[in-house]
Amino acid sequence: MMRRVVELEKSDKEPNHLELFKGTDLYRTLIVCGVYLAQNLTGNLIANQAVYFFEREFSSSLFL
Amino acid sequence: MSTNSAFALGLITSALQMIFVMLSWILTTYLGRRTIYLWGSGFNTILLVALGVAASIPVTKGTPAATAASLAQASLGLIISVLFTLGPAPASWVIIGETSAIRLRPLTTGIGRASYYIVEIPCIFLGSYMLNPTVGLFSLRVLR
Repeated sequence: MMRRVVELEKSDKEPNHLELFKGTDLYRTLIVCGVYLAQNLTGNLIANQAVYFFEREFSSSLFL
Repeated sequence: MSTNSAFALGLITSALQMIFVMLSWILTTYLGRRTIYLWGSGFNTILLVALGVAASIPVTKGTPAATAASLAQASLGLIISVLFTLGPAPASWVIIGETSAIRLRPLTTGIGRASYYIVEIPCIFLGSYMLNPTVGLFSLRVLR
């Protein structure tokens, strides 16, 4: 597989950025962008701050 | 909670995330990435709505109800971030790597990553507003 991809990259013509927005490749670009964006938009920046919420609740030394 | 135990809890969260990523390797032998991604995201959506509800119920500060609501937010946040690493997070990297055409793969991934950073900037901005107790914008909702 790796060898085939390397050969393919040598033999094929240079890819162009405009091709990303044509036909089936447009859908592929949109899917990849959407999946990337979902990582941000699912609120992980907040959800990863669980420690901060615990800290707020237990700041009076109830915990540990 | 002392600084040390807060740090320990942060480490525990990271360790749990690592374990759940390893569990996701087992999960992928039984389920396809479409199933994992869609059901994982759906389940996480439900939990995020529950977190939002827990943060929106009006309670008076210092009462047991306020403590319960705060603890619910904290636990749900931890569960969401850990479950995200079990299902949607590894599946999303697979989808990103496998969707694009082989010839265009570097370009598609590059464009995707660029859009990720463009959206991440406002997300960080909003996140710091949400978590900052001295800024009034969200402080009553997310925190109390």
